[in-house]
Amino acid sequence: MVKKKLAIMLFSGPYGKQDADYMSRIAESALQKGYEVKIFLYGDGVHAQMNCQNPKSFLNIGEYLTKLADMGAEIKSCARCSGARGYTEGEFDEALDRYPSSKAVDAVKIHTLYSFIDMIKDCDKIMTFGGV
Amino acid sequence: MVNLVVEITHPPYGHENTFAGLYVALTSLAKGMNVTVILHGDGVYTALKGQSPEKKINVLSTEAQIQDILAIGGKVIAYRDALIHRGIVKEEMIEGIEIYDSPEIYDMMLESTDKVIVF
Repeated sequence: MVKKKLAIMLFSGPYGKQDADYMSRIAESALQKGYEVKIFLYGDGVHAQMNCQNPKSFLNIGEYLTKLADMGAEIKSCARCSGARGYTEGEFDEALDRYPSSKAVDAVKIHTLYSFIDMIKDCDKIMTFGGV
Repeated sequence: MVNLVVEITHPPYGHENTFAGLYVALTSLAKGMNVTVILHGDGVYTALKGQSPEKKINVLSTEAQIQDILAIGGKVIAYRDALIHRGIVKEEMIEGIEIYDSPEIYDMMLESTDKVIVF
């Protein structure tokens, strides 16, 4: 059976708002139900990729993204937004298919906005979190 | 072809939402999608012509982004009610932006839109 494709955009950072938490739980549920899930971190949403998050009372979003990637989700983040917030270190690495960053979890590929446009074009459904 | 709606609900400056949403609209047009930008709520402030943020806050003008979107075939629509509430009249708006009543927008969303992204 062909998998249904779900694209997700996250536009707000973790913890200050509940969007990242809610998005991650829905993405996990979609993966369990057999969806192909692609997530794009945009604007302040790129902070969800930060390494070594250590929240005391909330779900660890960096670890959750790693779990989602292990379950099969493709997760990318905006290079322009990541650069503005100090995540990128150097130019795009063709071999690694990402902008290098020691500050982001491996599960998230820092990539161009075009990869989000491809997600939009290719998906059956799109959900946006944190945009409003 | 994918019919994409990018809905802008924030004012043009003070939040990143409008810049980011219009950037997605422009890139989607460049990738061959049919794109309609809908200005909703405080998003209608982006319809004003004569914006000059470069002089004071040194950010890109959302007016320039709107003009680029219109120039490469995108459609930009503003909610009539949102304009009326904020006292914005057609003469103050960027040329090419269309004004729709709510039922027209609902029909478009239901009948000729595949995907919606909200900023």
